[in-house]
Amino acid sequence: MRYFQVNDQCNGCLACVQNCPANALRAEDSDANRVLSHNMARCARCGNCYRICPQKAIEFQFMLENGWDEVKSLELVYCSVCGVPIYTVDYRRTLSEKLGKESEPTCSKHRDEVTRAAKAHFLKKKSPEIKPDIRSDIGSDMRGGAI
Amino acid sequence: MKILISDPNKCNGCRMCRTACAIRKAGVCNPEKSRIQVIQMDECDRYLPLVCQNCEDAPCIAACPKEAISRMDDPVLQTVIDYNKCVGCKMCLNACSFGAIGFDEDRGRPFKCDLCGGDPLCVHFCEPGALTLKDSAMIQYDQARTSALRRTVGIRR
Repeated sequence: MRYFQVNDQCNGCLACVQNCPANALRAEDSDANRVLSHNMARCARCGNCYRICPQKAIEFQFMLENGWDEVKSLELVYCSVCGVPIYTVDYRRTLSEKLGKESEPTCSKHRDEVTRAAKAHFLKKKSPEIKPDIRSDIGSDMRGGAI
Repeated sequence: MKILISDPNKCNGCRMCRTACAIRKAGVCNPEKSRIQVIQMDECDRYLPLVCQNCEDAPCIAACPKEAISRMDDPVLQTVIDYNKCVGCKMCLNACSFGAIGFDEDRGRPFKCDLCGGDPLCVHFCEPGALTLKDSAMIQYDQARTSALRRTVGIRR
């Protein structure tokens, strides 16, 4: 993880606390321990603490690394027609909760409720008879065309 | 209330409506950004242009987590997206049973047909005259509804 880290070299001199311009470091002496705390929201990432630390105890380089921390990984749902990823399983649950019904996972290009209704309308009314342009008495070649 | 009527018996699938819409609404010649969809039905060799139907019981309104989609009491503009509230979660896209809401990846916001404020450009560009803008008072909804129910009774999920 890429955040402020302090290694075992720290001896609790609190030079970093004194020199932090953003008041992002705090030390509390309670019972038997001195506890050093860091506030990410206040930290200006100036690196002052890192430069000042006499023990080289502050591992500031983690905050400067240009990397990504994985924070979440969710299972995907794919379009049942074309197979492109559309949303996650949790997204689908939220959607079906809001709509009050489960529906087939399809991308917006393959929303086929209308298509099916229209097809039913046209096919019932007048099913187009596709007549092959090949005479049965003449043999056809492999490509399907009449010889 | 105005409604965009498409006649699948006249449509030849040229998708001129999509090009015209994209140029007017997004300023680019990219049919992906058009507000009108053309459904291709190979089995019965027909095309069905489709825009937002302004559903009475709209799934997009029910799905929106930010209450950004609302119905207005306007003769032309019925269902509107409030872009000040919209966060681009695509809930409406996945809720719409027509696939009539599109998504602008550049802006990160959805879009839908607003009938160009009462004078849709797609109607003017439709060569075979399959698209017409009609007043909903001219349509016999009861008849259409019973007919549609009769046709779709066998294919309901």
